[in-house]
Amino acid sequence: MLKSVHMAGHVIRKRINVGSKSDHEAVVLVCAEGEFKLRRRGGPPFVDEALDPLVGKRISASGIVSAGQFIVDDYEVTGSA
Amino acid sequence: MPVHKVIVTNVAALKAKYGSTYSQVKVALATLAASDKARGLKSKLIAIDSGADMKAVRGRAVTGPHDQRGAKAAIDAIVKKHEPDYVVILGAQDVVPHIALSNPMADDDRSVPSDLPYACDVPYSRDPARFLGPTRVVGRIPDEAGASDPALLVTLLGIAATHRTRERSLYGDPFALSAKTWVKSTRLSVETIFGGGTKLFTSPPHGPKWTKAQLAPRVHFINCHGNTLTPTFLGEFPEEKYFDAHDSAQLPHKVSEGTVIAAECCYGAELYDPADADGKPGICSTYLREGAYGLFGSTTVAYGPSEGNGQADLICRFFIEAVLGGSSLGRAAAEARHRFVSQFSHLDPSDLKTAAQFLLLGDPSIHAVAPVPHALSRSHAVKRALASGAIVQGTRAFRRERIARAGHNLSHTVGAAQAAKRRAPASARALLESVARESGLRDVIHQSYRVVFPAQARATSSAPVQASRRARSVHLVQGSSRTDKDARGLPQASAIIATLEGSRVVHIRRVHSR
Repeated sequence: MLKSVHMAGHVIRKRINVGSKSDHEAVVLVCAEGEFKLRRRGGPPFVDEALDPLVGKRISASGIVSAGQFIVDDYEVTGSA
Repeated sequence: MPVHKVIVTNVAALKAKYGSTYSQVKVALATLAASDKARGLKSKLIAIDSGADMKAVRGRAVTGPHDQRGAKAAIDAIVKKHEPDYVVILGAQDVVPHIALSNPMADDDRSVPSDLPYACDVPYSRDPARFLGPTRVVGRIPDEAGASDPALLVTLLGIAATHRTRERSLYGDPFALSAKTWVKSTRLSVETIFGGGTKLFTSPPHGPKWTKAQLAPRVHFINCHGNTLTPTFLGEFPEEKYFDAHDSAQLPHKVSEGTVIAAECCYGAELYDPADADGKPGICSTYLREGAYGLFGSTTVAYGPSEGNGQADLICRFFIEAVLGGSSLGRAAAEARHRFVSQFSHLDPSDLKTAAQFLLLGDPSIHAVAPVPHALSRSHAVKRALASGAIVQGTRAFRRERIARAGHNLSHTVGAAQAAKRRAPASARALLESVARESGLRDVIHQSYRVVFPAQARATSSAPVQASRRARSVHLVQGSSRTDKDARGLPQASAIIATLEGSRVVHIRRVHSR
């Protein structure tokens, strides 16, 4: 089981994996550790409209990281970017 | 008696996962060995964590289940000693690691977990370009990553032990499934393999609640989206509207025993711990648990065009064609890699990633489909000679000789793109940007690569060819198109790839976004 991590940063919308079979517009966390596509655990793996309101916000979140994706268990909006 | 099949594992890692229930794995392994013996294969279990086992092959024990360099060296030593026809890697990556190759593409994968290096007789490296010529027949029988119950592994060993080879006619029409956005590409694949008029499901509107009758065919060819730590494959239509197309939860009791799957999907062969996905196992391990013999899929983000065939389409098609032609699953994987790589003078970064990321899950020694025998083999004289021992079949040895020759030829002759800190010449850059604009690309990223050929290729090439290769480079403009759309309103392109010799553009192609 992957270790749970905590990361904080601001959220943007960005195309990821351009040109691949996974090319899509994603909600991405930009933080000190790098850039990670955001997913909610148990949420839709590609486009999750529940994450749209986070774009432009600063968040703090906990979850697991796999293949450049941050699959969050919980998050908190801490301000505007 | 020579060892035909080595089963390579880390016993300490298995015992750490399963404790006293490891005994169930031992029983299942003994059953598989007996089954192999009954079909003329001597198999041998070798623990790469065992000092004694590794000393016997003049190798060194691995330091732990994540020791990639050690695992590669251990398997090389085992193959050198025994020269087996089949190499079975037993366990998921928390038992015997994948080799984390460098990712030649600028996508989100930090690395490309791969079993390809185990199939090649060159030393450990993280450079995927070192592994273009597999010479070994390799597959992985996985257990459940992170599990404490060996049920999956015991089941898969049992399936391998009781498998049977079937006539080609029983692998007729496939279960073929495509994201609707990629239907042209998928139709080309399945009609090339199975002929015109082949039934093709698209998502949307179909799936994921397939009936047993729909999933009954023994070949499944799937071209959908996939994602890391995700128990579903997804369809798409219209643009960026995703739908569950295939779900591991919908597979139980519906998969025919002996099914062989080629999954083009991103992460289609990712072996993950179900605990990281709300307890939901991956589609690949679920297929195998339900009786499939093998799955050929990708560990990471995959590539392919929306129309025509390329990258993932080709390597998956080549795998299925080899299986249907009577190759063992492991040989089919090797032949698919050979056919894929041999198309190119040099591999561009997306081709290179494709070659590295696809792997076989399943026992590589299984022949799902019987080859069509020559009429002579049915003659009384030949049957008598076989029964008396006057003819000793050596055809598998011939096939291995051919695999090794093809692998060596490829590794000695095919070049590959390697990321380089250089810019395209101004004229080429202008052309790329012009084509990108005309294709409606936005958010573009430029990347450049030099093309490196093996030393042997340089030695055997004429001076003009050598000069041409030395001057060769690859330049990419990657971006997304949301302005140039086809009749269905779908994006047309997302990357332009140009090959240059000196400052002259000698080849340019447009890779369609999936």
